[in-house]
Formats: sequence, C-alpha cells, structure tokens
Amino acid sequence: MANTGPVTFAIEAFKRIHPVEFQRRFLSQETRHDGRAFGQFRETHVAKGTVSTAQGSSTVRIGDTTVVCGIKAEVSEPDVKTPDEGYLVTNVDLSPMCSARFRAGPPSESAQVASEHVFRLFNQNVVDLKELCIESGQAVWVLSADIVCLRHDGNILDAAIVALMAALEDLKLPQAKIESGVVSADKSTGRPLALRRRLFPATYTLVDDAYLVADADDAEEQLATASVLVVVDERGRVANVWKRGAGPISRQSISQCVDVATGRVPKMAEVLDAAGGQ
Amino acid sequence: MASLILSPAEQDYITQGVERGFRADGRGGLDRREVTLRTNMISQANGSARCRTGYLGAGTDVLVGIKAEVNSWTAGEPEDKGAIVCNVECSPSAAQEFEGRGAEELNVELTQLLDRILGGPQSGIDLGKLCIIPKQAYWVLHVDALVLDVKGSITDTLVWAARAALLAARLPRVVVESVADEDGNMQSEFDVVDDAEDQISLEGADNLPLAVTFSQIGKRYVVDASEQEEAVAQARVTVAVSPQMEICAIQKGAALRGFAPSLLTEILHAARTIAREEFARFKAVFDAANKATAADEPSTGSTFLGEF
Amino acid sequence: MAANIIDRRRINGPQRSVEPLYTHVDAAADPFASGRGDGRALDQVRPIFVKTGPLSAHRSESALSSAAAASGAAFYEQGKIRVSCAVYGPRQGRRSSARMGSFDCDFRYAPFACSWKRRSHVKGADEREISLMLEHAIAPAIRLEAYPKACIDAYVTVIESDGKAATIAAAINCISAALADAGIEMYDSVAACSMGLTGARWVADCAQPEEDAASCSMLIAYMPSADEVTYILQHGKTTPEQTDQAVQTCTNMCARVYAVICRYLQDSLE
Repeated sequence: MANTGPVTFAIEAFKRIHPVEFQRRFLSQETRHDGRAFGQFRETHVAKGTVSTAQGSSTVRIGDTTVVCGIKAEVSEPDVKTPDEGYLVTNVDLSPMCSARFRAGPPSESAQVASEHVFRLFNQNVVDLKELCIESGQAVWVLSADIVCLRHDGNILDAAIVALMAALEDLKLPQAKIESGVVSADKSTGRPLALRRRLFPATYTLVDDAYLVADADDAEEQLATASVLVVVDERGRVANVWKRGAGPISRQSISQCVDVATGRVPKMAEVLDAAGGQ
Repeated sequence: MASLILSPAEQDYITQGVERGFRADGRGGLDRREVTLRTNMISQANGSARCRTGYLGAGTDVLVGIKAEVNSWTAGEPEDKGAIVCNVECSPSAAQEFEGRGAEELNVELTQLLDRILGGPQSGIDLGKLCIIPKQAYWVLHVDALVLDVKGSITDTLVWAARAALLAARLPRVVVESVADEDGNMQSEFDVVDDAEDQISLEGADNLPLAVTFSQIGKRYVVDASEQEEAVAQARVTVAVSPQMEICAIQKGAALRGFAPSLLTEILHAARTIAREEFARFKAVFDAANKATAADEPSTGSTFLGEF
Repeated sequence: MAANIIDRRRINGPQRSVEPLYTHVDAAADPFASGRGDGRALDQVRPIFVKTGPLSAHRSESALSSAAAASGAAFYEQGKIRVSCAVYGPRQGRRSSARMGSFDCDFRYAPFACSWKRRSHVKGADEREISLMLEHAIAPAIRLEAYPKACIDAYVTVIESDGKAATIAAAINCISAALADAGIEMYDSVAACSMGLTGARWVADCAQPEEDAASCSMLIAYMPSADEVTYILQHGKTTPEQTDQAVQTCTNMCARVYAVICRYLQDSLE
C-alpha cells in the first residue's frame, strides 16, 4: 500500500525519539518548545522563611525547577590564620528525587560544580566572614547553607544563587556570648546578617551551536553546547561572567547578555523584596 | 531474611499444614524449638551469652557480648543517665547471601530492633543507675551481637541472648568522692575498683523483656518459624513483652502482605500467654547455664563450645 | 571514623562545629498542661496538603514529560512537616530472574530538616532504618507480581520534620500519593498515622515537643479498603489494653488520612 501522506507521530513520541530535531523545528522558527521567545526568562517565585528548623531559609521556583535553601548556624573554633573570620559552607544537593539523571550517593559532577561556584560567588563577596565572629580566636559562627533541589527542570545555578541570596536575607543570627569556653545564645533575639551586596544571576544557553536562549529548561540543556552565566549586583556592576562549554558565542552576544542581566535587576530585586518572609 | 527458594509444592505443603495445625518438624502452631544457652564464656567481656534455638547444626545461633565503658559527659546528652548501645552483625558464614554487603540491611534492621527494645526505659534497666557523676561521667553498655547461624526466628534468639548476657553481666564498683580543688570548690571524682570479686549486677535486669515473633502463614500464624516457614510467611510481627506482661515494643518485619487489625489483637493476646511460658523457661535454662559455667571454671575452649 | 575523612567533592566547613547552648528556651515542662500547643483536639491530625506531579501551581503547558522526569512525584505537608518524593519505575531490575518485582526506597533528611544539629551528608543509621521501614510499609500494597524482573524506586527527602514518628507517617503517605501518580498497580493506597502516649492518654500526630514528652509512640500504616495493617511500630512501654486501644484509634485515623489523600487524587484527575 503506497502511503504518500506525511508520517504522523504523536508529539510526545517525536520529542523522545528525535529530541534534537524536535527542538530544531521550534528554534528555526524563532520560538521555543514551551512557547517562550529566545530572550524570555521563566517567572521566578521566591518565598523566604519556609523552613522553621533552619535559621534562614527560602524556596525558589523558576518554571518547574524548585529548590529549597536552609541555613543552619553553628559555632566552631576559627582557623588559626584567620582568628576573626567565620565560615560559610555552601552545598548544592542534586539527588535522584529531582531528576532521573542523578544517582544516589556522593555528589555528581554537576552538583560539585554548582556547589563550588556558588561558594566562590558568596564567600567574602556577599558574606563578610568577619561579621560571623563571636570572640576573636575563640568562637565563630559556621553558616551551613544547603541547597536541596526538589525538581530539576534546567537552570539550577540561577535557582541556587537566588535561593541562597534569599535565605541569607532571611537569616537571623542569635545574640551569642562566650563564657568559660561555652558559647550560649539567646534564641529570642536575632539580628539579620549585614550583606555586602545582592547578586542577581542570569543564564543564557547556546542550543545546537546556533541559538542563544535565556533560562533554558532541562530539554534544551540536553542539547546545549555552551552557556554563559552573568551575575550582576544591585548597582548593575558585573560580579561574575562565566562561560562554559566550547560552543562559540560572539562578543556582542555576551555583552548583550550582560546588558539584559543588568536590566532585569530592578524586577528581580522587587521579587526578592516581595518575598518578605516571617 | 534468608532467601530460601521453595518449590510451589513445598510452599503448599507448609501452608496447608499450618492451616490444619501441623508443622513440618512436628510442632504445634505455638510451640517453640528447644533453646540451648551458655553464659559468661568470654572472659574479657563484662557479660556474655550464646543462645541457640533448634538442634545442633540446624539452629539459629547468636553470641552476645556486653562491654561497659566509662564515657565523659558532653553538653546535650542526658545529665543523669547512662546509655545502652546495640550493634548486631550477621556473620558471613551464617548464610550464603550474607557475604560481602549482603547482610547490611538485616544488620540495620536487627540493630534498630534491639535498640528499640533495650535502648530506653522500656528495657526495664535502670539507666539512672548507670550514671556515675551527673554531668561528668556515665557508663555505656555496648551490646554487641554476632549472628553465627540462621535457621529462622533470628529476633527471638537475639533477644534471648541479649537478655541472658545482660543478666549475667557484672559491672566494676565505682567509688565517688568529693575533692576540693585549688580554689576550694568541691569537685567529684571517681575510681573504678579493679577487683573481679567486687562487682555488681545491673539494676533492673530482671525486668528485661523477651520477644515473640509471629509469622502469618495462610490464614494462621506460628511462632518461632523455621527457615522454610519464614520463606512462605506473608507477614511477620515481633512483640516484646516484659515479665510484668507489658508490651515493650512491636515491630513488623519485611513481608509480602499486611494483616487484618483483628489478627493483631489476637496476636497480642497470644504473645502474653507465650511470654509467660517463655519467662519460666528462660529462668530454668539460665539458671542451668550459670551452674554449668561455675562448675567448668576456669573457662577453656571446650567450655565455649560446650553443648554447641 | 568516617567523619574525619574530608570529602573533597563537597564544600567542607571546620572539622567540628556544635550548636550554641541556647538559653531562654521556653521549656514548657508539660506540653499538654493546657491542651495542645496548637489548639488541636487529642485525636486530631494536623492539616494535610498533598500535591502530585510537578510542584508548580498548575502544570506548565509543556505537559509532555521529558525523559528525565520521574514516573510519579508528590509533595506532602502535614502541619510543619514537609516531604517530597519521586517514584521511578517500573524499570529494569537488578535481578533479571526475579519472579516478582522489587520495591526500594531511599529516605533522606535534608541537612537542615531537624530542629537540632545540622545533619551530615553521610547517610545515618536512622535514615537507613527508615528506608527499610518504608519499604516494609509500602511493598504489601504494590502488586509486585505484576512487575516481574522490574524494580520500582522511591526517593524521599524530608525538607522539614516535626516529630519523628509523624515524619515517617508523612513519608509513607507521600510515597503512596507518588505511586498513584506513577500509575503503579496497587491493591490499595497506604495511609499512615502516628500517636504518642502521655500519661494514660493517646495523642494523635505528635509534634516534636509533644513526642519528646511522650512515653511511647505508635506508628501504623493501614490499607482501609483491604482492611490490612501493612506496618506497625511501637516504641516504648504500654499495657496490652493501651496497645489494643491504640491500634483501634490509629487505624480509624489512618482511614481519615486516607480519605483526604484519595479526595486529592480524585481531584487531580479532573
């Protein structure tokens, strides 16, 4: 039987069997498979103070990507070299609960990269470690920030950075004093931590070596050949530009990315402020 | 549990038998196998016991040692209490599937079960008596069990052995005295008396519970299931009962199915009847074991093997 | 000790850190002195919220599930307890000759989930045990004989806990909802509920301070339509009559929890 008509697929089957071709059909028409324009970000939702067992916490959702950040404050002895500096410890947890791509057990490579990058961005740049000193040379605060991903649908770095920022703004450090080697703290009093700056991230992903899209989701990230993370602070100064992957991105595109990221700052600041909390 | 593979005919034989009140080894539904017990055959431990359910070479065999250690108190721990820490390990020689990491899950399950029975006030042991000086020092009893052979009903044998070991355990006497330091403040200090003759038994060890494990097979249930019976059991519940007939812990084990709440009521009732008999049996066996130990002194390798 | 080995794959803090000694702790001697802290009745379970599928308020228009998406997922809240779960399967099992499928569960607390010291990333003995308990509680509900050679995996993370037994019960309920979302064949949904004994009274669904004051805790997982108890755990001493009473009350409450979950699951289909 000569069937000359077009082969029809269920769209879902097409997406699974030919993910590249599926995305290309959209991208070549200047649109994306979820209907967004190339430069369009998904909406960011932030809630502060969502976990009462942590001293500071937040929940952030970008599209379907959801992360929870909780900060536990504990005390420890400072390092001999820096007797008046506390510690900031940031870890991003990508467990099999958030996506089938991850395995149980020790952190995957992508989780390690995210943890390390978030740490470099915040340590000393945002959190002044001297602020965490209780008694020089004797006791300091250790802020353990754990970012747990609940659903992974791309752009985990942006979500992690926003979540940590929000959790740090939510953090209340109790008033602590040291007496004969024992640190006691009053749970009823708390002061917010003074932060040096606010960071606002924006990630662009180069899909299929040709299309630069903002805030890629999981399906698009699978075809990514490069990505640029631009982090700017509240005054529009660039804190970090990080290009990963070998895919070529022109200099103009990168400076455009920086411009857009700067332009998003007022709106993102509003989202962070509106989260309020407590 | 041991993953014995039975043919459908064998399974049917056991199930039908149990439903009619017969078991493959001739026991009735609520009959237990014979128990063999030896106590204090490990000279370095504060207390020890080896317990076997079933016959030589075809029984479940558990060895428990109690080691007491003095711990210094750190902030956050209870101020005037000692602690009991349990650890259960299944020897790789007990069953083929225990080789490598095969016994890991079972180890966790049994350790937590023993902890649940012994680790709190429900054990009957007076944890307050294990405190030496409040906020300074206390005794930790390490209960280490080694499962040497598995032929069904590990939990019951394990709790038997742990109870016997704790009853047989002796702690060195501790002398607490107040000493004034340089500033004239009174400080408490303690000395552990190093005298094998001058040792005390654990306060409240008589109240230690025993465990009865019920396995549901077909529409009926049996206690002290054999290896074959465990392979066909649909559900397993362990009930720990104190000598005062209080329920100290209940835990359901791995199983294919659940059971009706009404069966649970029935099991709780049966557990008490069986426990009453078990406590009488335990006393007889334990006293006999103690007598044997005293007669065989000094302990040698042959005492350790004894009736094993 | 494992704790002393530095894991280079994580950002590490100092070797040792402790919680400060909190003064001004509102140490209510008896949390039940004047009724319950949150004004609940003794047999009242905290408000429950269940959500299956992606976490967003409404599924995004790209309802096409990507390959990485879980077969089923659920988010469960009970008072302050928050649990998230993903279920994968049925997928290729480890034992290719198995007559029946297997159900495996991986239970984790988030490092900040408990009100005391931060939890280490290393899986604790209690997490291993709870993983086992969840397997034992859920497996009887699944028609494992329908999935030979396959395995079904559930990954559970507690974001916030409030009462250990209640958290385990919440995890059981959460997995039940996620299994339903994944379309796994089951005899019935499992609903779980916990209780604490204070004095001679059983109190339902204890929060952490209530649990600390209770002398005994009871956890029951129950399939109401099949009338089967799939899991029972009693920790602490009771008289047999009290246990009997607890089993009865607890199964009744499980049925109520079950109704809430089922109502949600039905609504989610529309």
